[in-house]
Amino acid sequence: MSAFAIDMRDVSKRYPYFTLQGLSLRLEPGQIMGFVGPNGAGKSTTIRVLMGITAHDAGEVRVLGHPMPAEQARAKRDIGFVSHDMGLFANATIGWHMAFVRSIYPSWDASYAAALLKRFSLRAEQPVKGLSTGERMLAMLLLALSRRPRLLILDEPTAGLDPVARHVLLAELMDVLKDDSRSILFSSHNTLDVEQISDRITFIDRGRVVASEDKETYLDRWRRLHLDVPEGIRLEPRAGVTSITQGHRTAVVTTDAFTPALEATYRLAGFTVRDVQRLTLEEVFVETVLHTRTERGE
Amino acid sequence: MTRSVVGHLIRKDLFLYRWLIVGTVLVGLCSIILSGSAGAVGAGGQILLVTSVVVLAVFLAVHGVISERQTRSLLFALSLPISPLQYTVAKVVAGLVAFLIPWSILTAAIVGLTHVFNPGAVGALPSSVALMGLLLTNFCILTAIGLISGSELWSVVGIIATNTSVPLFMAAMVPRLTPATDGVMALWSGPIVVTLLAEFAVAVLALATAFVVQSRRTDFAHGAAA
Repeated sequence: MSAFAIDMRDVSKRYPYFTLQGLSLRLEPGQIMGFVGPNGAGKSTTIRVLMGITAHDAGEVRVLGHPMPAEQARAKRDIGFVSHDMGLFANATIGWHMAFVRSIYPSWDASYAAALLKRFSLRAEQPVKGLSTGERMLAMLLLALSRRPRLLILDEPTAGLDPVARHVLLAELMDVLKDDSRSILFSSHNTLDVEQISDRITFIDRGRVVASEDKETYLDRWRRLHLDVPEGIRLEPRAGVTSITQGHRTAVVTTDAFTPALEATYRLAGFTVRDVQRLTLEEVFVETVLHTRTERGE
Repeated sequence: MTRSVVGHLIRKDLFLYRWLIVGTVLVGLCSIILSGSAGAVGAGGQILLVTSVVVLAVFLAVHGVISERQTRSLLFALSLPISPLQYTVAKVVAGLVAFLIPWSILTAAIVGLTHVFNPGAVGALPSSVALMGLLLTNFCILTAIGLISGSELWSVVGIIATNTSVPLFMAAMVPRLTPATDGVMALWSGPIVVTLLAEFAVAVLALATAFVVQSRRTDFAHGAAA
C-alpha cells in the first residue's frame, strides 16, 4: 500500500485537443500542495483522474492507498472534494444537504458543521438556488470539511469569489491545516492563494508537470539580478539562468539556481550587480512556465 | 456503505420529485374521471391523462439527468463514495420508481374505474393498457438518451420522437387492438400481448444500452475544464 495520500505515476490521458502526459505527483500525509497552472493546463483533468471520475489511459493512480478508478468508492469515503465547477441540488436547502451528507458519512461532525454554518454566515434554511457564488462555494466547503476527510481536494475553490469571501475561505483552510494528519491538494491559477497556504507547490502547463518541490526551497532558489553591463558586452546564457533581458548598458538576469557564487561570477566578469531580488510565487510561476516552453521549443 | 449511498441517492431523487409524483397522480386521476364523460369533455380527459404522464416522463428524464449535468450537481454526486456506474443505477432506479408510482396508480385506476363506472367500455381496456405501456417505454427511452448523450439537444430529439409515437399509436394501433371497443369483455388477444411484450422489450433494451454505454465510458465529467 502506498504511504502517500496521492501517488500518481506517469499518468496520461488523451483528448482530441488536449493531452495529459507522463504526469507524476506525490502528496505526503499532512502536506498541503498548491497545484498551479494556467487556464487549460490540465488541473481539473488531473483532479478528475484523482477522483476516479475520469479514467486515465496509462500510468498508475493511488489515492489514500486505493488504486483509482477501481476503488474510487472506498477512496472517496475519506476524500472531501470541492470544485468551482461543482453545484448542489438547486431545489434543496443547505440544511437538507447537511442532513444528506451526514446520513452518508458516519464521520460527520455536527457541532463543527454548526460552527462553520455560523462562521460562513450561512443559514440552514437557505435554498441553494438563491445562493451567490461565494455562498455556494462556502456551503460546499462546509459539506466537505464537516465530514472530517483525510484528504481534501480543492479545485479552484476561490474562483469567482469576492475578496471577503476569499478571505473567509482561506482563513478557514488555514484553520483546517492545524490538523497535520490531513492532506490537501489546492488547485488554483491564483498564486497569492497558493502562496498563503501551501508547503509544496506543483506547476502544471499544457498537460505536463513543469515543477514540483517544497515551496520555500523552490522560492529560495530563484533570484532576479539587475546588472550594469560594460558597453559592447553581450550576456550569454548559462546553466541555471532561465532568462536574460538586456538593454543598452543594463541587464536583468533571472535564475532558478541562485548561489552567492553566481553573483560573484558576474562581478568578476566586470558586471556591476546593482540589486538582487527574490521573486514572488507568481513571478516564479510565470518564469518557470515560459522557460519550460522555450526549452521544449513550444 | 456503497449500497447505502446508492439508496441515499435514490431517496434523494424521490424526495426532490415528491410534488411531481403527487401532482401527476392527482391530475391523472381527475383526467380519468373526466375521460368517463361523453363528448369533448371525455376526449379532453383522455388527452389530459396522456399529457400528464408524458410531462412526468419528460421531466424525470430531462430534469433528473440532464439538469444534474447543467447545474453541475452531478460532480457533487460523484464526489460521494460511489462509482459512476452506481450513480447510473441510482439514477435509473429513482427515475423508474418515481415514474412507476403514478403510472401504476393511474393504470390501476383506469382499469378499476372503468369496471366500476363505465363497464360498457371495458373492451377498450387492453388498448388503454398498451397505451400506458407505450408511455412507460417512452420514459425508458428518454432516460437512456439522457444518460447516454448527456445532451439537451438529443433529449429534445428524443422527446419529439417519443411524443410523435403517441398519436401514431392511438391512430394506427388502438383501432387494431380493440376489435370490441364497446364490448363488456376485455379481450387480451395475441396482438395485445405481442404489443405489451414488444414495449417491455424495447424499454429493457433502452435501459440496458444505457448501462452498457455507461460502463464503457471513461469520462463522466462532460464539458469539464482542462
